[in-house]
Amino acid sequence: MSSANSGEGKEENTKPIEGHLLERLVQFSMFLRENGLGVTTAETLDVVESLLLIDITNKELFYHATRAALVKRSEDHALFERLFARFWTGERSENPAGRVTQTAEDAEPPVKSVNVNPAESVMQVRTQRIAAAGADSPSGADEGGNTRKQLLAFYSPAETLGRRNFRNPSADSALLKRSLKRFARKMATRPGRRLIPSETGDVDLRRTFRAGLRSGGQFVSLERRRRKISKSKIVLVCDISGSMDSHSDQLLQLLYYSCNASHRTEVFAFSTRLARLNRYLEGRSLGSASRLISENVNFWSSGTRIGSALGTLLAEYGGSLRSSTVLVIVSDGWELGDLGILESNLRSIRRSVNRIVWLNPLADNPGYEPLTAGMKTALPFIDVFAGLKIFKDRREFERVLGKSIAPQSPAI
Amino acid sequence: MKSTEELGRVFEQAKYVADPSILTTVYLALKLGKPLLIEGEPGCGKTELAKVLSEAFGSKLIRLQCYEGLDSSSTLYEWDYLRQLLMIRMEENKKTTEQLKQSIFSEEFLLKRPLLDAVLDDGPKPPVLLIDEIDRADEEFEGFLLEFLAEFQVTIPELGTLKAKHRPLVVITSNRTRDLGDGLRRRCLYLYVSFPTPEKELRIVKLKVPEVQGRLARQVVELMAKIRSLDDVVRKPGTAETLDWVSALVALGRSELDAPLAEQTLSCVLKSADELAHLKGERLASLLSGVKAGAEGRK
Repeated sequence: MSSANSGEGKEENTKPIEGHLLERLVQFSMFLRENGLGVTTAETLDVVESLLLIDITNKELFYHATRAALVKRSEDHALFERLFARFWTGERSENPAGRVTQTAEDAEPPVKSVNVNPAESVMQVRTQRIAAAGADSPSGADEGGNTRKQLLAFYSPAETLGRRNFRNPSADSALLKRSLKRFARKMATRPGRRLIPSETGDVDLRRTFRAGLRSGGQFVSLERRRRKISKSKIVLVCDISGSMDSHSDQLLQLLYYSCNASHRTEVFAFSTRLARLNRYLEGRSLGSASRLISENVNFWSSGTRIGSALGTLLAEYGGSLRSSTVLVIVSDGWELGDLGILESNLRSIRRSVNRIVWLNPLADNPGYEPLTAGMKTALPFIDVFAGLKIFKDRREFERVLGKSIAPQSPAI
Repeated sequence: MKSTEELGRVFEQAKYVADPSILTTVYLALKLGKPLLIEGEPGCGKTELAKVLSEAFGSKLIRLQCYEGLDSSSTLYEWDYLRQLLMIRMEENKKTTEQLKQSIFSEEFLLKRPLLDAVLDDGPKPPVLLIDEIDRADEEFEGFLLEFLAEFQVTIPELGTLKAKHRPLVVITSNRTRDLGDGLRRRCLYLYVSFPTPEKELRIVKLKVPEVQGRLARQVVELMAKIRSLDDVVRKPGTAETLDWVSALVALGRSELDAPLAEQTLSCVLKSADELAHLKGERLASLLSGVKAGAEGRK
């Protein structure tokens, strides 16, 4: 990253940033926005102000200053690094040292060029699929062999990137909404282990006697206690790979209603990579949420790598996997990645969370048996295994998820 | 403070090892007067950074430790009811109601909590306000904080509006147990501190535990890197644990790490019974021999 080159800074002085550099900075913000980093105008102003304060001919300072002002999530840092390199060096210089190295693990979507026609950029209405290598080749052609390596790192036979639009996301959702609200509410209000003083509940003898002392040994009132409410958290991880395509409308509803049922819910979607979706869903209408998702999530219908997705979950969002967390995984278990990774990551997760619930749409079919390799690997770590039908039948829902609602200390 | 180099020297004096990303971000936060949001693994020096800043600039450190259920009365102010009652008892025969009101609703009877403290601070230098582990507080508090950070003023109905003399330097830390809102993120400069590289960690160890011998420090640091990379270690130990471990070994008077010693003192690093059980015995020994073989290879 330190080798990222700020070609612009050289001829400009530290005094007012104007003209060409200012223009390029605004372009850079737009470029980041186009590629999925939520940069606001206020932050663009910040970056301009920041650059007045530092020596912009120092590439390293330039890099860190723009990053501190524009990127506010550590999980976006890798993407920013790539976009930074692409924007400030990739477009003009042939200098291979200026490029960031990249490994196959953090393969990200190909970056979009800034000068696309806004009308046909993100507002696509149809489902579009972009083969990763294909979309990237025009800029790769003029950049020499090094880039080709980078291209290969992007490309995986299983990774077909795509966006998805939703036909009628609001159909038949009332029941789902009710079930999920109920689930979320139960999760947020389940009785924990500790006891606290209360108006109602069992008689608390210790406090009753103590209060009795005050009135000279006469028990004037009975003190009571109840269990303290332990607020649990739901983390929903939803598979949106190609094999789940036929359920995508239902998945969107599931993501949307779980996210909005309680603010203790975090929702993620994964196929070949994993993204947190709360910012597209929270506090919006279902319609605008589905539009935002289809604009911003570009890995629908890609391959399935549950293991590495769970790895990302552990590494980036490990903090939300706590002993009070119920992890809900929605997937059909067609794992294309390494089963060893899946197993070791599930084992780590098993140790940090309270419950793991696995919902498999295939389990709704009569006679289904979890025989796929991925599912077989996962089963020993799962507390509750069920289909998606449980959201359509209230009694079934209570029967299956009731188990995960009951309080229990985390399994080690 | 003229440049990042100068800030680097300040950090060096305060025994804080800072890389360019930390330097640049802190420098900009100082210059732009924006809050600094620090996220990262536990035990990697987030809180330490705020402490170092206050120490280095000789300004007051005001700390607000967040927890679930934190509300405005424990962050802003409370009236000292007991003393107010006492005052009324003592003075009720001498003063009129109006006079009493005047006297009991004065700053004297105000219990200042951290945020008000930061506003009222009249030291020569702006204080450092450390809002620690904000992810533990509720989302409602985050919203309240946003408003406070924008204005740096507190309105007390009985006294009027109090405004900060100079803007405190605000440092907010988060362990990411909950995702923070975009609103807060937008208003802050963002810094992510992860586990240090072995080279950086070695510098930290030598700076913080100067009596340690070079070889021991290197062994511990490299072993720590290996332990962190293990999949089944869920709670990754931070720099704080490294320092604990090195101090413990120095206290035992050792200059080299061997397998039995590492096993006896491993509880400085791993704080859960099953992780300790997993790693003890052969696995630890093989990690350690890997570290030693690496050192041989370098020679």
